[in-house]
Amino acid sequence: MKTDLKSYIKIYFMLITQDFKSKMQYRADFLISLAAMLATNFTGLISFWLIFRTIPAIKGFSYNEILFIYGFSLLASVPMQLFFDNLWQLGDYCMNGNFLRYCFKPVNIFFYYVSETFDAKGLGQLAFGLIMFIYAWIRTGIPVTAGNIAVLLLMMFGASMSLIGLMIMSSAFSFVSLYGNSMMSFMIRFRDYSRYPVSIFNPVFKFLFTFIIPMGFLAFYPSLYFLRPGDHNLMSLLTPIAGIIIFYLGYKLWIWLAVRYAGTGT
Amino acid sequence: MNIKAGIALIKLSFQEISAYRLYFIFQIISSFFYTAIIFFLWKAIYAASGDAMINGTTFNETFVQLGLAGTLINIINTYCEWIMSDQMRSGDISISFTRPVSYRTVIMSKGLGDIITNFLIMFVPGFIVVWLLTGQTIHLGANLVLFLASFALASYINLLISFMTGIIAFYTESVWGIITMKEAVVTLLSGAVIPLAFFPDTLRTIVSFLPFQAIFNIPLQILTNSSYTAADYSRSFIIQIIWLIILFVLSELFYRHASKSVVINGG
Amino acid sequence: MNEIITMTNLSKTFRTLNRHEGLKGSIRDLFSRDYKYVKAVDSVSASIEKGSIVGYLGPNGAGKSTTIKMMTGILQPTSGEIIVNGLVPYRNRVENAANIGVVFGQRSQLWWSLPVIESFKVLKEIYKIDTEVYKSNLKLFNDIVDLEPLYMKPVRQMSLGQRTLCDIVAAFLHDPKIVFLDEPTIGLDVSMKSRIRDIIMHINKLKGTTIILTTHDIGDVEALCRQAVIIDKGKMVFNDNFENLKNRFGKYRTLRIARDPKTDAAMLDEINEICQNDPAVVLNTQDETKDEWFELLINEDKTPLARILSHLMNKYGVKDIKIDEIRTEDIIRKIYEG
Repeated sequence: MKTDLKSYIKIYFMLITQDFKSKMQYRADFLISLAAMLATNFTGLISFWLIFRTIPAIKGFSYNEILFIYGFSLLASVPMQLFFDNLWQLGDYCMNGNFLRYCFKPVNIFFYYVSETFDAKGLGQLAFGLIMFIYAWIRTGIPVTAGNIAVLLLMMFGASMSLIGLMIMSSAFSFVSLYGNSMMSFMIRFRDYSRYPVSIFNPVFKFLFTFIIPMGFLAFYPSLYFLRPGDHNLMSLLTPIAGIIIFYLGYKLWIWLAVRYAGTGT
Repeated sequence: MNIKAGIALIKLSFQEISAYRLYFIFQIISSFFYTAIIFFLWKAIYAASGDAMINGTTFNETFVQLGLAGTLINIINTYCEWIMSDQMRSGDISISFTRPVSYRTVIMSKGLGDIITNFLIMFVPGFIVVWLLTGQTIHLGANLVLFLASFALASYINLLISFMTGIIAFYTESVWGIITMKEAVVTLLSGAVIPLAFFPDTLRTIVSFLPFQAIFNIPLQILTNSSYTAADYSRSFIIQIIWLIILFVLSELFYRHASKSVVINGG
Repeated sequence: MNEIITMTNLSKTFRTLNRHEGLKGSIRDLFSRDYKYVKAVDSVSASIEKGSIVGYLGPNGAGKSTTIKMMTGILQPTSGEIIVNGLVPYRNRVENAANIGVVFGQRSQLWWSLPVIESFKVLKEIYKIDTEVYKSNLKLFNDIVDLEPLYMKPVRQMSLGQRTLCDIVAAFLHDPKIVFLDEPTIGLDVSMKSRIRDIIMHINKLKGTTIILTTHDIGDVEALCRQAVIIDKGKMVFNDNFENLKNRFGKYRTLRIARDPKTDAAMLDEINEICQNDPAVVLNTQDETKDEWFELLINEDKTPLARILSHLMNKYGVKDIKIDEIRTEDIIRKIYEG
């Protein structure tokens, strides 16, 4: 029995429906979590505004341009929040041994694991990010053309994949140590600073954020395509490819460590 | 509060935490990166403004405050509200209620123990990095001692807030939501990511009536603000102590109410 | 022979780092090449017949779960061969998984906050169970253990027994060829244990499902298994018909004697002396509180039970005697202890 794409999609919807049903039993929790999600985004925006109301521009980027990058980074984080939230539970599952239950099914282990949750409160972030991004898009006067929208979707895809890939890699630490979640928090903290231009950093950190912990691909490089269209920046064109590569590496590492964990853990 | 039992529990958490050596190495490296990001970001912000001062503060003052806040957040964070909600959900809390020490003492002592350990391990490296990056401009004198006292009060205030957050999370059955919301508010309004000097006047007035600024802003001002007079120091301490008393009483009320319902509902 | 699982010289060696203490030690460990090798499974050869229920026994850490993991395909053997259902499991994990069902003791596979029927629906999709098969299987399980009242109950509100029952049913839902059950009756009361044994027995008879049962509960083995495989320190120490287990180490019987409390206590000394001189006689238990009962395990191939009994009856006052076949538990313990 080979599981094909069609049945994977069917299983996926089945699983997230089940997750949705269980979460609906805790409606108050859902609403409070949604409010918390918005509160986090809102305080983030206030911090941002507090800094930039005092200065006209930073490294040649105007307030609205940075808002564009910020909005981009929020939107690019949405798929991680919506579809891969179960990665945060991995540390627990590894510690109490419950991870094993994902290993005996005739479907891909990673697929089965992440399909189990759909985090609807990410929709709050989607709404928040969209409003902010559309506002910034209008204020920066970037032309609304079919081409730009197509490239935007491609860039958004690449950026999301980069973040997801990095988070998958971080969570994989749960298979070999107690520090998977610390690693993920560490990454998320970096993510929060991906909304600023990478050009503010010195060469060492610029290198670090481009090649080692490639947070630059999460918002800054892809945004450059729209904000500095004349530059033909190589990094911004590389965003989709970087996304695919990082995701692939993260996935491979995760599967490799998962199988190793399942083999030794009891 | 039962002092002896408290001390024993503090010691216990010290031992427990020192078993997690790798965790501390990780935290220190993470703090280092965070400090570097803050440094470059604010350097760029000050460069962009063209002035040496923004909102009456220099780059050094701002960076010292935010850089140290980055370390202090890691020190003060004991995850006790998460532990509480875990125990409430799993029902382990009923076991805690059968012990001769109050649950509140257990949580508070564990929190204090964690903070003391965190402080001993993480403060010095964090402080040295910030101190070097600002060209040794932090004055090292009596202000250090006052800072320690103020930070101790701040830690306790933060623990009380966490404790109450844990109880609210229990009532609402929304652990992630309540704790995340609290963290968003504390991070912004305590001056940990943006110095309060950057806030517009009305917002700053509102913040000055809230307990959150007593967690980071007050101790950090005591440490770094060279223009502080004796009157400023005593005003700062009085504000902290008043908040400590208010929060202590509040948390006692919360705790009594919650322990009643734990006893009635069996956790 | 109709073999569904064959293992030939199957071995699995784990490599672990020799860890050092202290901060310096843990930094050294990062670069260390100082490994120790542990043979978790050591050239095991065995085959399991289609449709049988096999008890897979051994003390903790004997290599049971390592073997099971190799059978389910999540672990690759270091050497040797394993064929399950005509497939090499670790090369075809997904295909193999479609043919097997797994229940791991306390760890539920069901969705915690949902009614159990919802979990079944998901499994139907994952295993692509035909609707007709799905319906007839549910009906079958319902006929055997009356499951329907549980369908709408969320798993988190179930008792351990009800949950285990549902977990076992879930493992049989897709008509697997083999089902692995790891400690299925752990922590359950007697009536629930027998219900669970019932359903296993029934399905095995009806569907011819091969069942591999790892357990510490000899009751499970006695009630269900014809074949027993015993593994200790990675090596297979027994693989035969379960009935032969009893004869394998000689013909043992248990003699229980109640001493007349009026006669002198020297009988105990005498028994101790017999045990010391004759290795075929073992003093098994001596209840401290009711010290008139002695339990002797006697290997009748070497020393006839009657001789001991008549010797003791001649010399001392005996109030009562009982003679039992050896308990399986005692045999297994003898095997573990070497």
